[in-house]
Amino acid sequence: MQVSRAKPNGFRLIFWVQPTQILDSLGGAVVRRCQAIISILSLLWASFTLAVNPRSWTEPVRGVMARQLLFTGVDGTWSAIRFGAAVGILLIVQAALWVDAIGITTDLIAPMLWRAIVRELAPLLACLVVIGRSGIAISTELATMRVDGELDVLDAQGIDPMTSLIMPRITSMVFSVFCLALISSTSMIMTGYVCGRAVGVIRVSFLSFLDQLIGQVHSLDLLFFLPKTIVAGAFAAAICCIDGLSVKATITDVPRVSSRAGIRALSAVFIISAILSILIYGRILIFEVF
Amino acid sequence: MNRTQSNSQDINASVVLELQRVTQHPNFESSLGIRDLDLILKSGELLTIQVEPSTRTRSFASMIQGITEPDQGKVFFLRQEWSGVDYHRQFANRGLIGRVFEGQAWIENLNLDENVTLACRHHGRSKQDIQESTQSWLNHLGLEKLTTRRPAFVAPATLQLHQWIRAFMACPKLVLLERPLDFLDSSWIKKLLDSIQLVMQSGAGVLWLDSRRDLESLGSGFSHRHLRANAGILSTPSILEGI
Repeated sequence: MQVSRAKPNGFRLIFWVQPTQILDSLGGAVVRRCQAIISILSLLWASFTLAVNPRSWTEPVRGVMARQLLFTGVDGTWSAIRFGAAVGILLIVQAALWVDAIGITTDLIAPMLWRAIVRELAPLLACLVVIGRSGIAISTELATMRVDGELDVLDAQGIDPMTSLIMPRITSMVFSVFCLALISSTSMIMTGYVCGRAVGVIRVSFLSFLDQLIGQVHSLDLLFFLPKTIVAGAFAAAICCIDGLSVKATITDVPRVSSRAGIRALSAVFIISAILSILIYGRILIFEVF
Repeated sequence: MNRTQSNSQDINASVVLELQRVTQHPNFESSLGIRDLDLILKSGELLTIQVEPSTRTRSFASMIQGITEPDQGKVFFLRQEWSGVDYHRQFANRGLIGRVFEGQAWIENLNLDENVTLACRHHGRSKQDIQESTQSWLNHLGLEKLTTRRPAFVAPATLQLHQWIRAFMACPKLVLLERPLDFLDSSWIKKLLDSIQLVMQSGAGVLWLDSRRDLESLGSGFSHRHLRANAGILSTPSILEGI
């Protein structure tokens, strides 16, 4: 009887595969990650240097910027308000549960809302809206332009695709994330108050509630809000652009590249939010890091 | 400065395009390949290159514009090697080249009139100057106005004529024509030759790549040289044949 060679199980696999191969694949993965981060940072630096150079802002580039702002920022406003309202309701329902469960006073609702919204949720929500509405669309558009040879057409006319396509899109995405984060945080606070008042979790007037919120403002919050929206937005935009431009010369690659760009941008936003939280507040959840 | 030096500088200044020992292997099976090609194109000169109907010329034209580098050799535009000038200068120099593309030639999310004037607007020409230049070329070709629809909704013949306007209105030093008569009937040949005459008089060199059998005779009225690609490969011996 022929005995087939037994395949190793998961534990044996570690000893079966050469340790050097494991190190090789691990090292390769680390190098690829580093290369990806370097290319994102390079793209962002190039966009920044172009954006601060007045000569880059020719009439067609201003037109691209205006259209992108309209599509990403202005058209995304209602989505940010809707999502903000939904999250505001979720937060207040959770707050009501905690009030009932452990008997904390309703005075703690305002600080909890403030911290959750301004420090974490609003920038994240704005990034989600911008990636969902525009990031994937930008990735698809750039990939299609590359496959169709439109980038060569620009290049051949002496128009730098970096100046005319990438820089205005990254700039407008960053600006839109910041503005939509402000809008969604306002929406969350307003909905949170109205809903909390309706279910009896908040029993103070709106002005007193606002007073309580303003009392919670910490200089770190302002320091936190700006980089979190700008850095996360910039990374999301850069990833969408890089992935869009990485497409090979077939149209069938475009949907795959676009969906991958969306997932990568979302992952980056969550990772950056976590890293910034650790750096600025020195905490992961309730655990002190520094 | 003596007269000999001055004449020498004049001759140098009039060289628009120079290829030195250029070799480029075809990207695709149907692309035009280049082998050890030496070539000089001066202002006011027409160079026609005959290719086979199945040969694609896009990668060759892109190499001349410095968008892609040749596998070997050097490409000079206005006596500057593409790889020797900085990034911004490369784009500025490309703005001095008018091109009728083979295949995709438009930014699909812009209207055709925006497409035609895009490069001029980007390179800082005034609105009035652009309008006058556009109108002049429209009149020359007997067209009424630029189409304001997206390229996807415009007939190929109209698109081709808009390509001509875009290539000629950019005050080019070099004009690259890749099969400029595609989609057009023979009544447009005279208009094209007149247009070529106009840009050559204003100091441009013209490089015309086509598979038409009458290509050599079409250029006979100009200061003209003719080359022929053999089996999809263009090389220096072809120049000798042309001369």
